[in-house]
Amino acid sequence: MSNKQPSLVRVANKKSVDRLKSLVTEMIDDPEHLSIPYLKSHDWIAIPVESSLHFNQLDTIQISRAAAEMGCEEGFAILTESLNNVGNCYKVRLSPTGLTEFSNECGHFNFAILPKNGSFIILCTLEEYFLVGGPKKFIDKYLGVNISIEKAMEDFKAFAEHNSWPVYIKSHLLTISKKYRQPASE
Amino acid sequence: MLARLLIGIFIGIFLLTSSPLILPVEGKGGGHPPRIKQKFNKAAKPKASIKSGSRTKNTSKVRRGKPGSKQSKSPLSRKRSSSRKSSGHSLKASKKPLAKGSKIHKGGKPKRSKKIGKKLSPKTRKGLIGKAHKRTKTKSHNVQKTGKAGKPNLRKSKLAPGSKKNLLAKAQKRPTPKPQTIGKVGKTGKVKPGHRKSPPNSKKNLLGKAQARSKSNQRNLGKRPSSQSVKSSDLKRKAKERRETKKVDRKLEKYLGGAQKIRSGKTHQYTKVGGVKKAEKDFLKLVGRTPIKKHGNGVKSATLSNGSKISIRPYSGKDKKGPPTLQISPKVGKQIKVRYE
Repeated sequence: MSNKQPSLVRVANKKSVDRLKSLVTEMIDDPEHLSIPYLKSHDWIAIPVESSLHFNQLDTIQISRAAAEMGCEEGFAILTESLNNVGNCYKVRLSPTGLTEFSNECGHFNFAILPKNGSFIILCTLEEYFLVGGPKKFIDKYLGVNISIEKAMEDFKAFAEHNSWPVYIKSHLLTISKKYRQPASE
Repeated sequence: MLARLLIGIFIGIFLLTSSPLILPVEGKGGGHPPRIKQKFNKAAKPKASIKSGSRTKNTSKVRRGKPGSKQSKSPLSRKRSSSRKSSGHSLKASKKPLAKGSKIHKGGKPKRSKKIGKKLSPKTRKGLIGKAHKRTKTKSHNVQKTGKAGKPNLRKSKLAPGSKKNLLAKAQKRPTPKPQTIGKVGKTGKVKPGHRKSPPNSKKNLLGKAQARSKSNQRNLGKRPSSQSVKSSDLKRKAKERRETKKVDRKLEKYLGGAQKIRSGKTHQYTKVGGVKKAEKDFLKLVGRTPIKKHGNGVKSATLSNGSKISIRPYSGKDKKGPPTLQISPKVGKQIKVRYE
């Protein structure tokens, strides 16, 4: 039954879109950063991950696995920038297929994915990374058994420090790496 | 003149008197006219008719040889013996069963008839051939009816492949069409010609229905062109996609050829000189005639002919101080990012 439902549906209900938008606004500072106070208040952890407009196959598997751990099969993708001719809100199946479809449709724009209850958030940016924020068990499930949060942070730092990056991108990525390390270390 | 006339009359008389004199040499019938010869021929074919189980009614009329010598025998054997006796020197030929395909040219009898035909008028010969045909036809008919006849000796026939006789032989060889079995098949699969209609939900009827359904399904499958057409349309679509991808690749090579690859992680990262103007120019060239969506703040997007998505941002970064970026996400493969510095 669940397979017959479409993976990505545009949400037209303004009330629900507004509610979700307000929730997202609460969770993020801007299209590229999560709100540190929100993370602290909810005892959440956020890790930056290398992006590819937005997810590749491995990313979709990791996200769907973590979402299933939280008991979420569906989520909502909310546009985090003000643009015309782009859907503000999409209902996304948190399965590899659904997330791939989302990437194909919304890969060129900044979006945030979160479930209806807001138990976690994935902030998709166009700046070479996306942020996975949520409780520790969600992050652990996302990373899997073999990778710890510290290891994931180190990996991202190594990615940011790569010599091939232009200076402005490198500095930006290093800032991100530092910013989200703090809540984890505290 | 008179002498000629006399000679002619003499020849005519001689011919008239000589024709009955020849016939007794062929068979011991004793100078019977050709008509009786025909009957004799009919009688000379007993073996095949006996084997096939068909009765040669005409033979009963012909009683040759010495009457009374073997009269005590059964009528069937009597027929045989009488025919043998009557056949005379051509008995050997009559021993062999008449081959189906070689009714006239091969086998014993036809040869005999040929021999006879030498002395007979063509009309009579024709009549003989016709009768021989008829006989074989009745024989084959009886074979079909009873199914007891031995295998016809078709190897002996050396007829032309497309000849009428050969075609006839082939037609005889061909098995008779089976009756339709749907709905009338028993458990064993044999057709019961006069069997009663079983009740609608009986096992037999259900089995028959199931078989009929499967047959009709098979027929439908054969008729259904959708699977083939779907396959062909899929192939066409894929071929078109491949063509379009090649076209787009060529365009990318052409317009982004000067770009420098800086990194190849989850995405292919390129840098190119030229700033916003060059970025816009490249974007328009790559997009071509496909419609462009304008999203405001200089952000534009489009879908390329092969389904790949392309977008341009005149800035990047939170503070909008970063260089313009051209982003291409192909259907298959890694995404491409080109920064115009």
